[in-house]
Amino acid sequence: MERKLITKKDAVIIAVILFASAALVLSGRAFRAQGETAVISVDGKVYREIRLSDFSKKTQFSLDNGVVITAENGKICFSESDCKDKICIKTGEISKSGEVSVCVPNKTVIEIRGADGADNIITY
Amino acid sequence: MKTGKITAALAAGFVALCVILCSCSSGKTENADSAPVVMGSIVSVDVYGSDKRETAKLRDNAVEEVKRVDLVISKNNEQSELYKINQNSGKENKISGELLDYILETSEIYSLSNGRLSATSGALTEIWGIDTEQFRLPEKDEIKTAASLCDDSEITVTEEDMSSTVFVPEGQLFNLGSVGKGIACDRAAQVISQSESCEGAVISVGGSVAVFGKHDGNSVWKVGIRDPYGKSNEIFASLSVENSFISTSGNYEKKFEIDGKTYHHILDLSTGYPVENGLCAVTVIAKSGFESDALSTMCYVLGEKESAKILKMYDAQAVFIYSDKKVSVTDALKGKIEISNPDYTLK
Repeated sequence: MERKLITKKDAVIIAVILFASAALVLSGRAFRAQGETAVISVDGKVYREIRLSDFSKKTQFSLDNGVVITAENGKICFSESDCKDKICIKTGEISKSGEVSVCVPNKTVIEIRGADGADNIITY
Repeated sequence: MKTGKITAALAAGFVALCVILCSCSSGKTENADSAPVVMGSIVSVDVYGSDKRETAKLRDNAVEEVKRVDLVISKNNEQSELYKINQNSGKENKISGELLDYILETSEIYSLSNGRLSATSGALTEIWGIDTEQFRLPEKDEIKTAASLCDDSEITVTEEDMSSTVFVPEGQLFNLGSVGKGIACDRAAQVISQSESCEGAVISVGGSVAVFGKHDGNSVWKVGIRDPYGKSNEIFASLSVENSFISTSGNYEKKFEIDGKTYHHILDLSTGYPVENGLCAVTVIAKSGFESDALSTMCYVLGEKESAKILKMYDAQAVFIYSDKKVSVTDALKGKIEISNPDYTLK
């Protein structure tokens, strides 16, 4: 019998451990405060700033240029655009500070801003 | 074969561990984000500086200091000095210089309120169940009797042989609840600022905030003001401040409902009832936590117009938030407040 370095069972064990660690990491992310703001701009001008944590339910923003942007569960993405390449839609959801999604033909940009402009503390 | 499996499992475990550690090490390096609870409130301390070991130690010392202060001034903590003195109301009580100072300072600042606030408001807050949050609506007579026991002029201090005693008539109870968090902020800030390792820090004791020095080279700190009608983590505006103490008194913090009427915890000693004047919160920025705490309560009770002179006296600034979501600020704050919730408008 040929000695294998990793058998099927080993692979299962490895998969389970990796899956569990991924779940841990993701759950940690979920608990982290999400102060991120999505800034939507058209042709360089800010169209709207959206605090992502305020949109847990699916919310759609229809822009004058025909672009539709969807915010849901602290994430945001282009959902409709009349552009040919649809790169903006293919970019998918963004949610972390610094992430950007762009629709070049429609000159529309979604940018996530985080910690920099965020509050250091809250008084109550 | 068996060893191969174990090796593989260990390798996978190691990889997993690395993934977890890497994913957790991002973000602030200044300190751990654990939030201890003292004085029934969440205490958070962030210390900025290049020596991480030292800043972590400073943070721990600051939290310890808050715990120590709690053991001096807490009305509810059975181990505290104030609690023991209240238990002995109507008798002569030995008192530490520290607690005596807090009581006399509180009494002095509240003397500006014309009897609407005092350091001995305990009899009234107790019958409303405010300190323990076991709220109840007392009878009118009960309120009248309790309110008559909240007069600071009855405090007698005797100094003898380097030690002090304090006396109040039976039934009178000290209550420093409206200044306690601010005092704790002051002491914690003092502990941290003495160290050369500290470049700056932000402290919160139950929403009473201290900011000083710099964070990442920036001396301006953004302090969010809680939205009185939102959830506890929602803000309606942010203040840009340097080296300041910031406190907020709001009617949302402790409240209860009886027969469809809502009662909150900020009592006017002249009526014995919660203050109803159209305000829902007041935020004050001052030179010390004691002052920001005391002044935010006093501004809430006195209202905007009557507070102006007192704020000037203490060189303090204030944000008055009304129930109709109109917001008014003192002159020096104009340009330093940014309203992020469009439901609120600046007057």
